[in-house]
Amino acid sequence: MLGLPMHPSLSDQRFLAIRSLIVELAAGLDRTERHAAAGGVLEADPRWRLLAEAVERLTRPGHRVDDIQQLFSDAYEPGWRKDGGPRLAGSPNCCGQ
Amino acid sequence: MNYVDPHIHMVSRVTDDYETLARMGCVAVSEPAFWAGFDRRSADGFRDYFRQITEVEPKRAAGYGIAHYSWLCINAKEAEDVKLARDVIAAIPEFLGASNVLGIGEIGLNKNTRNEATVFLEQVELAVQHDETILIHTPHLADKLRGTRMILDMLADFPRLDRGRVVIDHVEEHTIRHALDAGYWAGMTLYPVTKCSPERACDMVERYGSERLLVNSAGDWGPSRPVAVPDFIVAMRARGHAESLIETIVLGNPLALFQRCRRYVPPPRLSARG
Repeated sequence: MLGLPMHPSLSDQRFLAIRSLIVELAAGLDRTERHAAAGGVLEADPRWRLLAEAVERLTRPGHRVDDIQQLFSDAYEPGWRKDGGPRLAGSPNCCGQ
Repeated sequence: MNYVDPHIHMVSRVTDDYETLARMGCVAVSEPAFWAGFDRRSADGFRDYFRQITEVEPKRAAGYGIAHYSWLCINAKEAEDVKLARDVIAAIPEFLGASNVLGIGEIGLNKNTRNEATVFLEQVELAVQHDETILIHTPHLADKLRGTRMILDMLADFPRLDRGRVVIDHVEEHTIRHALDAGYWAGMTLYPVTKCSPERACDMVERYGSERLLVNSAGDWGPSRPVAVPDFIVAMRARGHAESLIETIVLGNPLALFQRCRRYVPPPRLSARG
């Protein structure tokens, strides 16, 4: 990790930037709820539940961005090639096979 | 500050963008072969495209003092048609002698399908056979983590592959460590909505250092900013990072990667500087 050059505390600039993002987030969620109110389908949408879970995780300390990126990701299956997955198709000698 | 955009699709950009890049300090761009926004119907369609990025775009760029490099492949999105993909792969060696070609790319996965993986493997094999550097596209959004891990699994099948000649592109916070820990280069793509922002790219530099790290715009025909690399430079400066560190990431690193290609000729603007 690099040494961090400046901004040892919460600067005014950074406070305003994060405040702006949180206000946008809140407004976006309100807007989605308001527009969906007539149809009543929001709670059934798994993407809405995913967003709610992500917002909840914002309050946890630590590497929030890593955690939320993981939440928004499909699971990796280490054995994905076991069931007849792709194999090298050409010369078996080209790369030390 | 002089810089390189190591991933930008100039065939999709207007000539004014070349002028803007030159004004911003861009000395070189590299253009991976990619999806044109529609599926091409024949290998000859790709031949025309390869001529465009090996003959036409270098001339257009040179008009603004910018060196233009390119990478050749069939992209993951069109790789679902394996027969077409194999016809294109067979045509690629016809263009590998072009002076601006850096290697094979951007190969990779899109929806992480079996056909995509098959075509990916065959193109890695092509690169190994021809001793070419490789630029790898990783999937978007929810597919990214799984696709990146699948790509790394497949690359592990090539023990003689020089990891220092391979870029894993479009990394984000959840994939960057996998690429760097395995010894590959990692590219951060700065996009307005998806992928990464300049501020998050700065965060990743602070967390993982500058070694084998690239920053690019991946500017194309969709929402994208051809001046995203200068945006990163400004964001790094605003945090007080040293000019030497910034220059390493935006100029020294991409040129160090390009030098791993045997055909590489330095950008004329840097050569003229002496």
